[in-house]
Amino acid sequence: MLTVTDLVKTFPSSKSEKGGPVVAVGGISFEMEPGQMFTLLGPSGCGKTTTLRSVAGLETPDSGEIKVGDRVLFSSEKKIRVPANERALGMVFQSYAIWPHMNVFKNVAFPLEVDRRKRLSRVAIGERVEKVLSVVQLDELAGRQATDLSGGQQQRLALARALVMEPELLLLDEPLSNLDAKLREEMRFELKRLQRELGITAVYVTHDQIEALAMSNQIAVMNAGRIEQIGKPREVYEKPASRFVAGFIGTTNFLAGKVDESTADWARAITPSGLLEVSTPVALVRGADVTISIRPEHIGITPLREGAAAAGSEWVGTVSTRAFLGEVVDHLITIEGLELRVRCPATLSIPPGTPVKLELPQEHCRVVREET
Amino acid sequence: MAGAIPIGIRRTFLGLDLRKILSPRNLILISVTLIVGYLALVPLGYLLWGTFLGEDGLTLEHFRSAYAEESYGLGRMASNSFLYALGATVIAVPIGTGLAYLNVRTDVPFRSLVFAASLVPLIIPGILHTVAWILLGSPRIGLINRAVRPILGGPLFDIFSLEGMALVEGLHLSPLVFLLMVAAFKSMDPALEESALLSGASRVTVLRRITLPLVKPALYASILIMIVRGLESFEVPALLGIPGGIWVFTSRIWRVLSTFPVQYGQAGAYSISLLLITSVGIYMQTRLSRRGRQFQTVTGKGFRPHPIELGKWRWPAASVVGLYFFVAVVLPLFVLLYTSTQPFYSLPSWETLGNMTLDNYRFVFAYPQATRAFRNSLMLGIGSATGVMFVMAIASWIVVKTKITGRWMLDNLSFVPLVIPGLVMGVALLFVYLRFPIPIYGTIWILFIAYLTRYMPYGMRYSSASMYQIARELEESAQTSGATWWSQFRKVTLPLLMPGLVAGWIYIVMVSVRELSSSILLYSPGSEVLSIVIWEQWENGQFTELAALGVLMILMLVVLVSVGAKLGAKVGVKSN
Repeated sequence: MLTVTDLVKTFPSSKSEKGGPVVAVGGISFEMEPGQMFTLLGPSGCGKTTTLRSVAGLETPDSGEIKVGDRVLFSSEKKIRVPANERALGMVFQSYAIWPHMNVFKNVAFPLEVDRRKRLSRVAIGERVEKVLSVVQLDELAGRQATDLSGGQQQRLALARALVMEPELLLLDEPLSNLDAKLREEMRFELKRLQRELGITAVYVTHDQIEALAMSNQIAVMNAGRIEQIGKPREVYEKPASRFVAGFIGTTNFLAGKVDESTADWARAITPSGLLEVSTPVALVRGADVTISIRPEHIGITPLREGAAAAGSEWVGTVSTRAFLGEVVDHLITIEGLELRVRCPATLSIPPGTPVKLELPQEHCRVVREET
Repeated sequence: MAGAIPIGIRRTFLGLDLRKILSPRNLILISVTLIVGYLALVPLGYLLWGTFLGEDGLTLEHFRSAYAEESYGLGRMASNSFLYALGATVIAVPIGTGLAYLNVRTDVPFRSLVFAASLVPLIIPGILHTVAWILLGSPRIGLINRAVRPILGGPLFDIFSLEGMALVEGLHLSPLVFLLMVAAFKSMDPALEESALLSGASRVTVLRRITLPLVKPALYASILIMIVRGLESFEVPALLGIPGGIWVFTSRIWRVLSTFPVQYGQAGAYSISLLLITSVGIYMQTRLSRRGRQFQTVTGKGFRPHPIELGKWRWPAASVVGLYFFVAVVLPLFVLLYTSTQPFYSLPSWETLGNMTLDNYRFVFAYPQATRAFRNSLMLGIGSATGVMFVMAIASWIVVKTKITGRWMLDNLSFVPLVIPGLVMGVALLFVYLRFPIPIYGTIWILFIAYLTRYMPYGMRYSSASMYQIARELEESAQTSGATWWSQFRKVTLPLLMPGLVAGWIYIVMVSVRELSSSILLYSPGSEVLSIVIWEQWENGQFTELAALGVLMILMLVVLVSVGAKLGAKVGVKSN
């Protein structure tokens, strides 16, 4: 559906700081299937918005190619650059960009009115606007001035305006970030339902990992202008490819170790706290330094009875502090100078000072790529 | 609870405690209020009194005689004034708005050039700008007309016409529109335009249906401000209008006061007519800007600048910008500089280039009136700026930080002079000090009073803007530390206000150094300021000496502007 190939975009550095141009997007490629919600996730300044704006035609990339279906929208090689107003893509902006001098109906009708190819009649426009307004449940408010809408309503209006053209591709630039927490959660489900029901293909840009996990079919995690990993939400969470991905999505523990023995997807590592069996995406060289990520909720914890000995794959430590977080309790465990965070259901709360034994399942101990 | 006697509210209304009322704090507050009230109201009172009060009671006689003759009857003069002001607006608003749009919202080259051009009205005083345009566009001696005469067989245009007046004033006002509209475009979320583009609208449709409607409040405000400015302006109507026989209110006021016998009553009548018109304009403009706020949508997030790529229109747009810079900045500056090096005014040629001389500058430095004017202008500028900022710092403290009843009146009083055109202020002060027993008429002090009054609103605006930014706790902690009101004001409030006060101070120094329209009615031999000397030289036909003095004056203003910029002060032209 959307194919982006080797996209590069640099900005001239601002006058105050010397040096070369700032690389916003450093040659990224991805492809997405129709009917999917594809998310570009990353911290601010990672290039996700620039990528989206390049697809929209609001930014001209330095090089690369952007295709929607068979339509080439941009290609530095073929010297093609379709202007933004001829790309026929829908976009929802972070600030919603609702035109304050028009009412709800007029805002949605605008894309149809300015369509020079179809030249819809007034009646046809009215019908389509009403239809899309009822989809986002704003049909009651059609005559209302756009500035009199609440944040959530403005958000839905922006969505209706982007959908009214029935675009092949919908671009969403942090559409929920201006809403308050409660409403954001509601809109998350609402947006997902609409996208699935209407079969919309959408690119979603966000810095919010929870939002990305909840809504996407595919997530591309971006950092410093590059894509670190592309995968289904569960994949990027459970099998992070790099230290950045593991740290950015959810919380995790990092352990340093040396490879003792390795097969294609299994390895044994020597860590300061003892031997650890881990899973790895590739076979590792014996003696190589590795970083291992294990999520707090994947570590098993049981209080150690006086005098009991630990088994082979188990480590022994002491609870240093604990924090009650409502649904869960976080424990900080000290093992020979190392601190591990362990998350348990709220039913289990172990007082500080208690010796505990930890279980680190091999399939959840992931070897992750270090930053280059 | 029920039996407790409230302590501290035992002060009854008439139980006057003199010690409390005459505390140093209150003495300072009372005197500041009196100063502001005196400056704002007394001139207006005398103006009304002097105009409507005849020998036997109330009279409209002065109005009748003022509008007696056909060439300057009320209808004729009102229509001239409005045509001229509207013409200047029609030139200034599209130019200023277009340049602002190109600057803020597109990737047009030479953006810094336009910002430099926007400083022109600060750096080139109105009188020099007008003189420069006469040297360029007079049908007889204008460089442009003389240059095209061999080709066209006659002059290209006549600057001494309504169109010429509108052109010159419009060019001088356009940077002001530019600054007002830059602010409007900057506060507009670029996503509003981008979403229209993505909706499939063409660039022109976006401009017509999204951009312009969104800046409409600012656009209307600029139009009103420009009309008022045009009506108030004096230099252009005096230098271009009077020779062409085109009378407007300001030029008539000057004429009846500068020819014998002096007609004070008529001047008052013209002044009150003009004052009524400008007050309506300013009232409409404040109402408009209040209504403009409803256009704000989602706010709070800073907008990232995403300029629109002009593509193939980039260089055509750049040449428009370049042309503007050439016409509005290069041409007037060049003609002044060129003229200042010539023994007499003539069309540039190889011969005149060979005749270049610094004699005019030598003359200026040896001319006692000119050196005295430099001193007077600087002294008045620094004195009035210091006085205004000092008084207005306290006044704005009263308005912003206290709960004193009626403090809004002080706020409104300090803005009264904004409505009064410079020339009308001159007339009003003339009325006051011809009758009032303070002997300052004929001294430099009357100019000082005039400048104090005229620039009071600027002082209020600068200092109250920074006053709002001082957290109440900073002052309260000084009080709990045991500081008296005065030492708290001096040691806490004033230093925190300083950046704003310095910015206002520099701005006032600059505008008062250029002042002409009040000074021309109030100066006397010995108290001439720079713009007056230039005016007199113009009347004497000393073009080359005038140009030299003008170049020196511009240099002085350039230094002031750059000192202001160095100090980080915002020295943009304030709206109105």
